[in-house]
Amino acid sequence: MTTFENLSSHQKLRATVHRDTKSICSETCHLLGLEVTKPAMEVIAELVYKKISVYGADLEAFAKHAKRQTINADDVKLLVRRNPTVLAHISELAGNISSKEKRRKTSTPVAKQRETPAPKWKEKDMEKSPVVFRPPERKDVEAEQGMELDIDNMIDLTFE
Amino acid sequence: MARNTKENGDSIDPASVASNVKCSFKQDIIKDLLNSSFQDNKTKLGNDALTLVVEVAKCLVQETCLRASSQALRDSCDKVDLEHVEKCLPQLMLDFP
Repeated sequence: MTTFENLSSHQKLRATVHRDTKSICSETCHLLGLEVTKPAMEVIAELVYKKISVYGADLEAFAKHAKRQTINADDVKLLVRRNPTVLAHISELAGNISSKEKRRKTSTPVAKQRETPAPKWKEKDMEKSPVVFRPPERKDVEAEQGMELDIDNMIDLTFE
Repeated sequence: MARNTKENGDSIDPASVASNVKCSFKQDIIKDLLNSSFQDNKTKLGNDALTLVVEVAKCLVQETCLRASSQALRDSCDKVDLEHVEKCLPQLMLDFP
């Protein structure tokens, strides 16, 4: 009998990619009121698996060309440069991440001085752009999902 | 994403659907997958880059689903089947480099 523990590391990665893809697929299609069949999801999962492997090789080449050893956000932007909408989305996300990191770095040494203005700023930000504060919500959701996934931990291993 | 299919007038609003999907890939899975595809062992993956690659992968899945869904609606099916995915694959592969 095949269990998850018996698989090689590559097969484990693949099984996990398949599981995540299936959850995204079914959620997206259920929002539209449609069902997705299993073969369709498997094809999409396999596509994503291969695509990410190719992205890995590309990103490594980009970083090498810039004479770096670490892949950073600019390499990812270069990767999606030919699709303007994805590029805009990714750039926005990258801007959010970097600004958050800066805020974290500056807020630790001057935390005492900024005790009163900081909450106001947050409230303003929340009103203006809820997008900036999406990641904390996501973490909660991810934690919930993790619990759910543990409960129904039936990973399908019938793919090739 | 790069959708220019407004011609069939169905009620799909891709942006609202895409922003409502809460599931995503686990970061460590994508990290392992990328690390296994590197040829040079010295190459490292930055934290922000990993987040962005996860987002790109999520976009890819959502985009495939939305295109396949609109194809299914065009064929007046209520199940997204393999043929609908296959039909939108070539254009998808051109849009995602």
